[in-house]
Amino acid sequence: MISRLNILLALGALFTVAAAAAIGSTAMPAGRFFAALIGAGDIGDIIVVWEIRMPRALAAFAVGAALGASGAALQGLLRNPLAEPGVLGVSASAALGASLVLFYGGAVVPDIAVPVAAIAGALAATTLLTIAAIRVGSVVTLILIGVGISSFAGAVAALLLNLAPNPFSLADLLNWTLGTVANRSFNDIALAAPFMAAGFVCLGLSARALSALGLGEETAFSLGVDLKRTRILVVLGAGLATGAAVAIAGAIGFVGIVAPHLLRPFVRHDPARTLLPAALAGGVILVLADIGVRILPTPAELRLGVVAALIGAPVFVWIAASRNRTQ
Amino acid sequence: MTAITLENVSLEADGARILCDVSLDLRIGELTALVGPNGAGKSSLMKCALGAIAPTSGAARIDNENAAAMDAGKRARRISYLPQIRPAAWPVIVEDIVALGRFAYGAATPAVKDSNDKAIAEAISACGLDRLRNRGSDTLSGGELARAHCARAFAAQTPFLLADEPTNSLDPAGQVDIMKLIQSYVAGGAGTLVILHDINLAAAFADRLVWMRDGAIIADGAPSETLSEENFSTVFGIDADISATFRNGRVDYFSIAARQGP
Repeated sequence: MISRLNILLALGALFTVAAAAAIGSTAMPAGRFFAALIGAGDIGDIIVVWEIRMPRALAAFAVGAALGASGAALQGLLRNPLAEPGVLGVSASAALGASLVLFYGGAVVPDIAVPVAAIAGALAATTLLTIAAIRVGSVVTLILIGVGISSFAGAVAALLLNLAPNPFSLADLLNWTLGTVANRSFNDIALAAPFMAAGFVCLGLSARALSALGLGEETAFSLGVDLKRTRILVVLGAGLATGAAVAIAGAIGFVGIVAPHLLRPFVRHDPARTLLPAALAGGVILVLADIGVRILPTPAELRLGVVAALIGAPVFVWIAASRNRTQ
Repeated sequence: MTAITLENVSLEADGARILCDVSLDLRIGELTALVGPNGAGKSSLMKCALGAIAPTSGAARIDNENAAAMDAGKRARRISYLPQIRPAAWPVIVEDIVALGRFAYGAATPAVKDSNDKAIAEAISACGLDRLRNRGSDTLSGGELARAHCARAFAAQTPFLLADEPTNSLDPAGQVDIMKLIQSYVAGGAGTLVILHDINLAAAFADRLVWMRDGAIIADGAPSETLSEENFSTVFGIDADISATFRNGRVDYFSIAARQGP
């Protein structure tokens, strides 16, 4: 069922992506922009809109949507609003997977290897987390395990930076760690898109069960939820979607926390109804943040992941601090 | 005929004997209270009956099917389960909690949706939640939350209900409320097993009492047969004076007082 909220968010997504394509260092009046948008008009404008700005805007949207949906689903599965691909080390592991391929692969690896390695990294982290989730009862412990995974993946990534043979690979590796959608092409998006789509399907299939899990695992079991299937769907879905997002943009944190948190009150806190709005909102947030990154007059262009963390980390602390009711 | 049967069920975990050769069958139209001290194995017995735990030996069956191997959806349409209440992970509204009772019936076709909506509405009014249906679960009192969970279980319209200390941490009025709701559910044609710590409550509402201690059933029968000083002392280790009168096997008058030491 498509709710009014989802229609509003989808319209917001269209508007922000269009705005991202219209705004930039090459000033473009509305007439020229719309002409370029439909493929008419000046060839230079068409290139700016369709080959520079639009892929970048869509990449930001896809990455935000994947992280928003993954965050919402992980939060539903683990029953904790602080669970998120970035915090749990899924993004960092994915970035590490991609970095390893770039570092050791050199120029010979096919393009598809990068998303595949990122997804493998993400799946390794989500699988580890789920095994831990079954064994440890406390979600706080689980989040600490995620922080540990994140730190370890970060440490190995730092090791790669340390060992980087030349400044070019250093810059390349740094991009994966900081997270950016600059200079993305439709080709980059197309490589990751099938994995991301598969991830969305898995997350969507888990939605109803996530609602039941809100009442606790025992109750969910008695209601007819297949717990094992639900865990596999969320782990696979979050791994695929986050891995694909990282393959496009590197590690970008906190979108998966902020987007579901903002939307939850509008969907009566139901985890199933949070998924789609969280995906749309995650996309919108990242497109807006990327517009900010591009128009802020900083000496070097800010990395999207840096801005996301600057905004998201305080929100994370705020949510954690205001959770005194339970646990 | 729908039935839940435990046959010579034993359960071991980490080398400890939790259930020891337990046999029990639950029948429609009976409110069975399971009483016994902490650690007697009451919750484990209930989880075996539900199929959440597979017994080490013996058999737990729902409609002659192995309970632990049963299809999850099919089980959910036979048995509803009220575990000991914990706060919900999200402050979902009462109506959504009750609606989850229909999880196993799906929500796709209009016909299914209609019967779901009807079952949900009936359960909400049966549990007196009409005015609370849009309230967040974090704003409810303990008694209201317990009623919401009861409504969730009732909405499933299953022939069996298993409730693990549904009156835990409720005030006396709330305890009686919940027991009356469960009693009316049984009167509507269901069988229930209810774990209770309060022997007064068990005496007042149960059609049948199952006494457990150290993983074994000590006594099983109508209150008129089993509500004795001897069973009370064996199961709880407390000497008490019990005086009771019965009508049709059920308790008419009941009073219990612990005996002072010598």
